[in-house]
Order: sequence, then C-alpha cells, then structure tokens
Amino acid sequence: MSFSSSYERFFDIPIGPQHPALKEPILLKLIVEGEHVVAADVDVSYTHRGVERAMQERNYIQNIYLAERICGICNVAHTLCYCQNVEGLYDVEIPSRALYIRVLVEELARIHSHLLWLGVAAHEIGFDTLFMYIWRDRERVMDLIEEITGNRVTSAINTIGGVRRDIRPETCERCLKAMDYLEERTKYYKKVCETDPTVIARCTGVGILKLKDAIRLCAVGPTLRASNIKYDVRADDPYAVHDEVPFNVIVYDTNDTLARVLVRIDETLESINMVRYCIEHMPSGPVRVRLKLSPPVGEHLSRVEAPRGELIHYVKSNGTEKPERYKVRTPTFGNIPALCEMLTSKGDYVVNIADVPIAFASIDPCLSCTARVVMLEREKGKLWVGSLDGLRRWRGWG
Amino acid sequence: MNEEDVVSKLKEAFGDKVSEFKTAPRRVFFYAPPEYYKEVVRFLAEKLGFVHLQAITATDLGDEIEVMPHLGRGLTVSVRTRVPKDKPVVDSVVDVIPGASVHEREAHDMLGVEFRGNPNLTRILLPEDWPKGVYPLRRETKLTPPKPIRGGKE
Amino acid sequence: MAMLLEVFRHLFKKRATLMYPFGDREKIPVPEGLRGKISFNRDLCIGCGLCARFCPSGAAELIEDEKGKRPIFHIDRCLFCAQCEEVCPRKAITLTKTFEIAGFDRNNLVVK
Repeated sequence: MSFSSSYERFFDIPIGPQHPALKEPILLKLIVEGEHVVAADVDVSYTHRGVERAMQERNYIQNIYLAERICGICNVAHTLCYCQNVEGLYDVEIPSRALYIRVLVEELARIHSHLLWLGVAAHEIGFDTLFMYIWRDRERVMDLIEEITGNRVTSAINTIGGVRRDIRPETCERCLKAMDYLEERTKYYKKVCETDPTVIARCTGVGILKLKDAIRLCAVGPTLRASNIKYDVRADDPYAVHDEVPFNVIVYDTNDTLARVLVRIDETLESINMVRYCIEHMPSGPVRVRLKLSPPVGEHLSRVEAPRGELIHYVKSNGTEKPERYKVRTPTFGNIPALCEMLTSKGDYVVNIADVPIAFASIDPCLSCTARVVMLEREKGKLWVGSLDGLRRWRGWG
Repeated sequence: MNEEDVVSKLKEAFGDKVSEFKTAPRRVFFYAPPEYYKEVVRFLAEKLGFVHLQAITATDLGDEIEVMPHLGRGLTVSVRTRVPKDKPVVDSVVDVIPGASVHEREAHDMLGVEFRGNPNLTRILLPEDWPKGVYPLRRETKLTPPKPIRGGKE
Repeated sequence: MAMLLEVFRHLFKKRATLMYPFGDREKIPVPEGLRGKISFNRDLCIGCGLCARFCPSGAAELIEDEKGKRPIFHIDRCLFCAQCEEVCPRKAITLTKTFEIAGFDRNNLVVK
C-alpha cells in the first residue's frame, strides 16, 4: 500500500519513542486519514541491550542473573526457561519438591503481572480509581514473593539444578490466607469490568484480531486466546509439574480488547487455584541437585508460558563454561505482526487515534514508561509536542 | 502425531535430501539444504499442520551461517539450513507464514542474512544510525567495554 | 458506577499508604531472608576466588593483602543476587537485611 505524499489526505504520526501506552520506548508509526488509522509499523530498537551477545561472554551461572533482567515483570519466567534449557543439556532429573516450588513462584508471578496489567489498562482508559485499588491488592502478592525469594522483583529463586531456597510452613499459611483475599477481590474486579459502562464503551470492538489473522501472524498468549484459539504452552508442551497440577485454558471468542481483559482476569483466578494446589500437595525431599559448571556439547530448546505469552529460549553449547549461542524470543516480539494488523482500518472496522493506547496496551507489552507524541500537520508545516494526558483527551483535528 | 511420525513423513516426502535427524521428547531437529529449505517449510506448514512459527534462530558457525526456524505448538520441529558466510542468501518464508516477517528482519539486522523475497527487510533492532555492514552477532565483531562515567574506578 | 459503593466505604477505612520515611519507618515489614547489603568476615576467607568468578556484575574483586588473597565488594555494582554467599565454601559472606544504602560518594560504597 503506498501513500503518495503529494496528496495531503494522509498524515504520518510517530507515536514514541517515549510512549503513550505502557512500557518500553517503542516507535509506532501510524499513517492516519482524518481520525482513522490506515496503516501501522513498529520500531523496537530503543531497548535493545545486546543481551544475546552479552550471554556469550559470561559463564552459565552469571547468565542466570542476566536472563532475569531481560524483563522485570516476567523475571521468573525468564529464569525458569533458562534453567530448564541448561538442565536439558545435562539431561538430569530435578527433584519433585523443587519443581513444585518453581510452579508456585511462577504462578504467583503470573498473578502479580496480570493485576499490574489490569491496573495499567484501567489507567489507559482513564479509570484511575480502579488502577489504584488493584495495585493496592497487588501488594499482598509482592510481599509474599519477597518472603519466599528475598526480593520483590528479580526473585532469583531458580538455579541450574533446582531452586535456591526452601519454603517454610509459616509462609505457606500466609500464602493461603492471601489467596483467599485475592480471590474475593479478583471476582469483584471481574464484576466491575463486565458491568461498568466506561470499561465496556472503551474496550468493546476495539483492537479486533480475527481468528484467521491470529493464526497466520503467529500471535501468542492472551492475545491469541481472546481470538478463540486454545493454545497454552502449559497444556500443550508441559514443563515442570504442569502435567500434574490441574487448570483450565481460558478462551473467549469476541476477538476484542474486552475479551483480552476477561482472559487475563480468569487466568488470575486459575493461578490462584494452582497456588493452592501446589501448597497442599507439595512433596518433601531435597530442593537442589549439584551439577558441574560446563555442560556437555549439544543444543536444547525450552518453552515456558510467561504471563504475556509463549517464551522460547534456545541454547547451543560447545563444552566450555560459556554458551556458544543463546537465543531469546520474547512474547511481545512475537505479537508485533498481530499488533500492526490490529491497528489497521479495513472495511467496516475503523481504528481511531484514541483507540491506539488501549489497543496497544491490550497485547501487554513489557515495562512501564511515560509518553510524548509529536504531531505534524503537513499543510500548515507546524510541529508541536503533545503530552500523555493530551493524547488521552484527544478530540481530533476539528 | 509424535516425533517418529514426523520423521517418517519427512523422509517419505523428501528422501535423502533431509538428514541429521535428532529427536527428544516433543522436539525434532533436522537439516535441509538451502535449495529445498522453503519447500520443506511449506510442506511442514501446509501438509503436516505446523502453522505456528515460534522463532528463527541464526547462528554464526565460523565459515557458515546456520538459519533455523522453529515451528509448531505442542511438538516443535526445527529445520536447519547452512549458507556460506560471504554470500548468506536464503529464501524467505514470508509468503508461507506471514508472521515470519519480524524474525527475518531480526536475523538480517544481527547477522546480515539476506532473505530473498522478503519485501520489507528494514531495521528493527538496531538504531537507524548504526553503521552498515557491522553485524553484532558475528564472531569477528569485537565488543569494546564502556568508559566509566565520572569518579569511581573502572 | 459499579464501584461507587466501594469507594464510599473507603472513606471510613484506614489509609493504605505507609508514610515511609516520615513517621512509619518502623512499620515497614522486612522479612527474614531479605537480600540486603553484604557483610564479610575476613577471618574465615581462604582466598579461593569463587565469589569473584561467579559474580555477575564484577562487584567482588580479588586483591592481595598482608594475609593473602581476599575479595572487596563494590556495593554500587552489586545486584544483591546472593550468588557469592551461596558459592563461598567457608560461609564468609552473608547478606544482611540492610536495604537503605544510598549515598553521595561512590567510594563509601565498598565493603572491606
């Protein structure tokens, strides 16, 4: 599709790099006709830190902490995927208690990430009250994670061979009480999201991704499950003890942002049940197996369901203490083609500029940021800088 | 479908053009030469139902560059292909699986692999003013440590 | 609209924010096992160098003193990952519960 610049109907709006909806500094280049977005492209180079190259210069133990810092919110998923990957090279069996603790911390991190996203999505549509209340309830999960692992973010509980710390009975008691409280609050938020007129008006019919497009463009995570496709790595390719811990894969079929909100709330309720199951059925035994520093020559691929979607790590080792090649594919990267499709107006489906923040936020990109928008009006030759609040209260050119 | 079925169906369709099979629980790795790479990917996506592309990994092996897409949902099939480093050209699979566009752009930025047939091989991970011809994940590219910012020891 | 009753009820509840550090400093819950500032016992150290080898950020640096090799720790580079504590064969390194470490001079942030 080409938009000739001599015909002044189409404007380019670059949204970013300090960006309006959520996270990472990312450049969204929108081509706009009046109020409707007709094409979108994405430039993600602003947070590129060269992690894959840096991993080739450090040994396997140092790389655990580097993998953890790829993302602050999904840090448990990254360490889990990394440790599973390297353990696959050794081909060793991990003790059962360690696997149950891994799943417990992973599901707690999923609850925390989904509540964080729900609060930020509420903030994107202007519903600040809901944002504040959800984040107050999320503090219970952060306190639990701090008690189990020693830090609120960057938990570093997974290591090659098992987990680093054991969990005490008092912590398990506190965890069960917190789960009862969180279940009640999450059900209340679900009721709010299903009945509140603001949420329904801003989220229904926005950011539609049809089933055929979702499959063709290889979307992952809740973005895919809100388009009626039942795919979850915990069910299709089980790792740790996910084949023993029962849960349901949540699917909705309305293809829009409201479906993604409801998928994530329901996944939070499933995770609460999984945490309860893990605590009640935790076996006893050792939590760690000691392994040599250099794994044997080979390659391995490991997949994990991070809160944002399917995360895949690939390692190739040459027998030394440093990896030869380490590849990370994060779920947000995999959702970029689907995002560009979601932001394109086609036929009856129109995307307004005001829908862009919430549609972009609904794929749950990673990390938080502030925002600035540069508007250019080609005819008048004016260039002015808008602000985050200005974009949310955007009333159009007229 | 389990790993053995996939291996036998591939051998049936392509004979000895595919080789170096390695299987593990829910993982299959094999090699296809660059001329048949796109045909193999098309066969996996259209006939065997591996429509979901997870990632495309590109590795520098010294004299060659290895390009390996990973396909599948429950079972993961990884197709390896190797091209010489001084002329790294591979067929693009964007018309078979449109979601491969971002992964091919990444491999192009990081290692300089040309994907023949991809209409949009622009920068995605490196900044716009990065010098052309410098590929960060190749072995020849050396890293320089950063300078200390005022005070403190290095 | 759906939240109106809940918001009204919150008028009569206690505030959820703890006013740290202006008055509520003692009420901050600090759990056991929090990974804080490093403390090092020179008498137990044997100079093996494992802490410096496995430190992800280069915060542990091996130097010579009159009793032999020993590490010093640059807290401004420390990640508080506790890998050094885990790998030390003589348990000479422990991570305390001190988390208030900010300062103005980088040279004060070295544990000897």
